[in-house]
Amino acid sequence: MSQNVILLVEDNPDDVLLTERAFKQNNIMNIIVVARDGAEALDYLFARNQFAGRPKEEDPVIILLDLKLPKVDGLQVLKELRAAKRTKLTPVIVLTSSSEERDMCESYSLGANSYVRKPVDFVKFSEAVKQLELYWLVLNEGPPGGNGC
Amino acid sequence: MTAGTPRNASRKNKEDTAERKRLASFPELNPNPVAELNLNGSVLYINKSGKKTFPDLVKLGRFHPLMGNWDKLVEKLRNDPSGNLTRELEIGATCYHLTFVYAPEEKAVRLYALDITKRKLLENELRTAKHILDDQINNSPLAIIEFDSEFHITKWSEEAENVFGWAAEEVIGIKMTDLAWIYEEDLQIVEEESRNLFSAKTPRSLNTNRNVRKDGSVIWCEWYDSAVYDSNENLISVLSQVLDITKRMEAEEALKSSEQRVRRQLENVLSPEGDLGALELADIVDAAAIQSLVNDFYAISGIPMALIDLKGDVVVGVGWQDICTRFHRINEETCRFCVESDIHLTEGIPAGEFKLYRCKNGMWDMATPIIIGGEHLGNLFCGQFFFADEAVDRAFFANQAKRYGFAKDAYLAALEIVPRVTRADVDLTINVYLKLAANISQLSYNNIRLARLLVRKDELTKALESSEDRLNRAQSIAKVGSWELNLITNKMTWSDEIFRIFGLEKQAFEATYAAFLDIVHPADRAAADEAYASSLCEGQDSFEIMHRIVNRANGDIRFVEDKGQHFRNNEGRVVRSVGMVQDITERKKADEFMRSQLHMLTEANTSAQFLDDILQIFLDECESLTGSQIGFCHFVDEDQQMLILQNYSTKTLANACTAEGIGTRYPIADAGVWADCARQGRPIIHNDYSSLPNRRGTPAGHVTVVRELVIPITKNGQVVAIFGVGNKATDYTEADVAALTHLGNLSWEMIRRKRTEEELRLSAAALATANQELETFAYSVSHDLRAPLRSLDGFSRALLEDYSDQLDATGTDYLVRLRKGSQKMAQLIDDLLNLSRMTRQDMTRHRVDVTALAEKIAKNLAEQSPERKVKIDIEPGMVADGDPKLLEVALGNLIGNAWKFTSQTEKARIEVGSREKDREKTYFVRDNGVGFDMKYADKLFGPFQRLHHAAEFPGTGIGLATVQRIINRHGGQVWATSKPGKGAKFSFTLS
Repeated sequence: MSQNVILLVEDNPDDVLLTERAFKQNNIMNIIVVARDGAEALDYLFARNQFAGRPKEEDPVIILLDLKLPKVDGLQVLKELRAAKRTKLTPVIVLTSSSEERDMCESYSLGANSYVRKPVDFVKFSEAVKQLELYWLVLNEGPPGGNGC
Repeated sequence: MTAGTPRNASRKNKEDTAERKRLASFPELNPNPVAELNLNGSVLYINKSGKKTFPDLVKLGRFHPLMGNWDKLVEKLRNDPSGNLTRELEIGATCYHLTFVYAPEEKAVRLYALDITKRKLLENELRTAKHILDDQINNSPLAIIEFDSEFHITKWSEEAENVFGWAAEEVIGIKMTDLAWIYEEDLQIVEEESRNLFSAKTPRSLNTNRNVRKDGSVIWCEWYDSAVYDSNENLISVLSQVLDITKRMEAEEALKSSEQRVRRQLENVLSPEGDLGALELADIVDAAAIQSLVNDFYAISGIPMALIDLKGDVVVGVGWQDICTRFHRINEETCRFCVESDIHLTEGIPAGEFKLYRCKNGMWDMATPIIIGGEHLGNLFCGQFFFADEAVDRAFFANQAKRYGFAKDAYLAALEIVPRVTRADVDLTINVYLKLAANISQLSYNNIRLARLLVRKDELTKALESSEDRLNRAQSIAKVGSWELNLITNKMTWSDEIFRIFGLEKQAFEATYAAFLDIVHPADRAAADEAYASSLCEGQDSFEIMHRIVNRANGDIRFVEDKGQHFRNNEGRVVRSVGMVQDITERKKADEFMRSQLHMLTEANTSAQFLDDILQIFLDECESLTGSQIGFCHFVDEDQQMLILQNYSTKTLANACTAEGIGTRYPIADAGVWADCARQGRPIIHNDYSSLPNRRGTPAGHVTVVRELVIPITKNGQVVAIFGVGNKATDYTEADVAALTHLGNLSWEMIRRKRTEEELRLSAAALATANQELETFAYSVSHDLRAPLRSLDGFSRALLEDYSDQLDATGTDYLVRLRKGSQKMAQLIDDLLNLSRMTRQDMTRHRVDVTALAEKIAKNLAEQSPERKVKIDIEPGMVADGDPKLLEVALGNLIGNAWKFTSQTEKARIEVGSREKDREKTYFVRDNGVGFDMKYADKLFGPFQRLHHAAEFPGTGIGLATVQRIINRHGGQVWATSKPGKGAKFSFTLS
């Protein structure tokens, strides 16, 4: 049984806190797993190293991915998870400060499902998270047969 | 803005200051100096790079007077509509480009500095290189004209000005055929020549044709054209070297005409049909000598005689009869009879014959004509007399006396003493006088001829002398000598110039064909002899050969052109050859020189990639031009301490040197005699290398040096390189020094040019890197700078939401301000990034539907503020050539501004349209909003320049700066017109 884990890949603790707060305010009760860099995110996704043996049920239903990350950057994470059978269909929302066009283009071309620019205004941020929840967690139907197809 | 928050201007200023301080952290990252000074010149802020570059600014804490007069600068800035000024400043060897930007709201001046030393240096170098190249072309002994592939004149040397009379500025850019400088009759040759050059059939050609100078005079020119093609064999340019050979042609012409004239004159004089002109008999005959002769003869024969000219004047006479002198020639009528008889009765007598006749006065006379030089000038008469065997008709004479009133007795007495002569005596006398007449004729004529010949000879000698003089002068100018070889007498004559060309004393040397062959360079002797001999045998009439001669006086090897023409007798045998010898050494050298130069330049421009390659090509040329076997080049380091071996010629590398490696450094002080040139800064010739006392000897494997010539390349008083050649077969001369110096300098300029090109390429690469870094910087700003702001805003919000019960109104207000500040800063960052993106972003031009773009923008605006009622008129069918994305940003800003500044206007109206004037399209966005005062018009487009308070109209002041940047990138212009309260009109063009 899926535990509806949301994987938040974010190195900035402030942003983590604010994101969690925005989730809470919007009554999103999913378990939020935070990966602090790209390598950790990949380890979690592929259940290796410190996450070895993690139950499959904890596979995220959605990944919120920052682009600028220590060790392995967001675009690289995106590339790798899209290449793996296990995560190839998991919705990925790129959540980043950048409004650089090349980031946006590259994200989409690597298979991001959505691209959300983190606004400085917290109200707007909260609004954005709410939209996310509405679309990806409520309205959007996951791929048939879980993530395994 | 949060509703209900109290605001006033001073608070707003404080806020801005705080923002500015936050923003101040950016310049720290800027690698170029940035500073901010207040209006008194005190330093408010200076970044890290600035501190390093302008330590005085930091030490003084204010603008350094050495950097300029601050007060004047500020005054200028305040009055300058653009609000910024630029200066160039040199600190030591470094040159900075300073930009001062006036920020009136902050009462501050920002200073941005950029190190432009390298750029300046490169610019200078390029200028010098070009200058020197032009100089060399201008100093060439030949006129240099360059044409582009369309045959437009692109280069016109000073010598070209001299030859053709047009100045460079009159002809540059003009098509070859549009200049009236080709002699009409030669037009066809010239056109054909151009066609051949075009079709790459003859990339080089030599032509002789006539040209017309600017002043209309016609000159003969030798054209040496070289076409330069690119690797696809497309014609790039044609380089023509022109030599004015009019003088040479004149000398040839003068020789020909002087010969003709001399021959005609001589023929005239020697012809027996001389013209005696107006001479009279008395002028011709020696009257005294003849008189004495005939007196004697009269004493024997008793027969009178007279020599009378055709007018009747007596030149010589003897035995005049009283009857004639006292009676017949006194009476008018009888005298007429005498003269009539003298003239008419003697008409038509052939020379050498006598006519015997009775005169009208009744006595006998004989006459024979005196014909001198074919002209009848007078007659020789014998008479009057009576034959001894005839009876005198006394009655007739008595009747005569009566008729003409002569005293009868005296008249008859005179008749009695008229000689009576026997027929034998008359025959004898006739013979004597016939011979005398013939002698008179012949002698007199000979005398005349002799006299005339003498006169003519003097005249001819004078004429010949002056024509020879002219010829010699012409020959000396054109360096053309003439010769003549008489094959019958085997005598040869040389003109003065030939003696000069051969280096011989005219008096001390006899001109012979053998002597000529002896002067010819040994290697060319056989060919020269063969050319002359074969032209004799093969029935040709002329020959032409180019060969070398060895000047007897100084041993110089000169190149001459030898042309000859044969004259044959009736049997077809050559009896005489005449010809010319022209010293073409200078022309040939210049020619060779130009060829070398052209080759070097072409090679350097097309094939050579590396400096070493260029250098090698140059050294090969230096070597071959000076007839050397070795060529080398060293650079001299900046300290003038070391020589660095740069390259050898191809031949040297292949055959000679193995000992030393390229790149080896030699201290100048310790180097051998070959470095004398670097030490002394002047060309050095060692023609006796092996016997030099201070010679050090060469390392093993080094080629044996017999002779060498090394020249320095000097720039700004310092030797920068040395070029050397060695082992010429004969001694090096000043001519070699000149050639090597010229080529060396040219090489150096080419090297410098290549270096400059290389440096420009590197600096372009550096610029690209800098742009790349800017990109990275912008990217990281976009990511990292926003994150802290998000925290500020987010947690303030969290505080407001979660802890509102623990905050009083002031606390809440602070938090609200905190949030507003961070949001404003986020906006500023976004705008700045946008602005920089406008510059960084690639631009591609397309046809843009401006009308559609404006409509889309208007629609968006209306959707964002549905409460606004704005009438927007957009001209249909507007199109433009530009980058669609950038134009959308620009137009979005302009229409957005109009939208914003009409927010307080009733019946707001916006118009988007275009006008066309002088084929230039101007687009405009007009509104009826608040407008602005035109005195601030020029500040509108500066970044962060705002004419309205944020409370009135929100914005960061980056929009119009962005618009300007976009329009500028399109090569267009943007400007605004307005009046406060009357709306504004923003217009722009796109080139």
